Amino acid sequence: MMALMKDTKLKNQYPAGDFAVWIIIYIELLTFGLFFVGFAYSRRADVEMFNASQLLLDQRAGLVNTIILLTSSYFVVKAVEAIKKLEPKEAIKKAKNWLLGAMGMGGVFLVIKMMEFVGKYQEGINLSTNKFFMFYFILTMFHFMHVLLGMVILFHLYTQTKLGNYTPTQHRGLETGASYWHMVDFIWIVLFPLIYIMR
Amino acid sequence: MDNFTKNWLLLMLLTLFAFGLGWLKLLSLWSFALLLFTTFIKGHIIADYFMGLKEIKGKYRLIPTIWLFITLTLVALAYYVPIK
Repeated sequence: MMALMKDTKLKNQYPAGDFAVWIIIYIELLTFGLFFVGFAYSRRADVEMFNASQLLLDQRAGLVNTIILLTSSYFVVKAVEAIKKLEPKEAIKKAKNWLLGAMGMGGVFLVIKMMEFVGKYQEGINLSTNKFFMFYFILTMFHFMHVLLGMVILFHLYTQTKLGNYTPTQHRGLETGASYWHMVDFIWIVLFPLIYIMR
Repeated sequence: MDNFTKNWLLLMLLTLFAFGLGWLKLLSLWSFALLLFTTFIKGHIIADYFMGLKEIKGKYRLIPTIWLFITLTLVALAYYVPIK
């Protein structure tokens, strides 16, 4: 009984999933945070150029991608909830569908971002155009790579769910992958207004 | 409607609000502050409800919130503290 109480207390002290993923999440936050602050302070050197360059971005694409990522995160939350609360057979069916939806959303995000990158290259804009676009490409491509890795993780979660490897008491792997995917979303929440809107 | 759905809808509304500010070019000092505040709220919702940190006591819950606060404060200072 004491061991059980101790275990319950420990679970409340640590975030969901494997703690290693939280170390990664905190490191990622630090890295992106430095880039965000670097972008904001670099802008001070040439505010007009940053504002003019920002106008060349398609804010609507940023909006759609934000909605897509938030919805994808919501689908992952619903998949975890299904595994935790529903009967195994129904849980697997629903969680699979939610995860497929999340992957679909992730795929659409990548396609829209690719279209933005290609569009910019066709306009002759690249990393060396100016400091704004240097930050734009570094930040969004770095984030793009995280979404790509997140998609691989979501696919793994999907196959494990399909195999019935997650149950209401054993779903640590699912929570670990879900936490990573939410981190990708969390970072975009700051990246979107900073790059596309603030001036 | 469950809590996750309510939070997702709130995230959608805040996102549309932020986009509206930029689209209509309503970026005065106050709307800039509002934009930062809604970004903070959105991040907080994701950390607390989607990542499940609301159920966690102590520093692990606070890290994303502190990160948001410091990052957004430094961005605000960079944008609005006059250049000498």
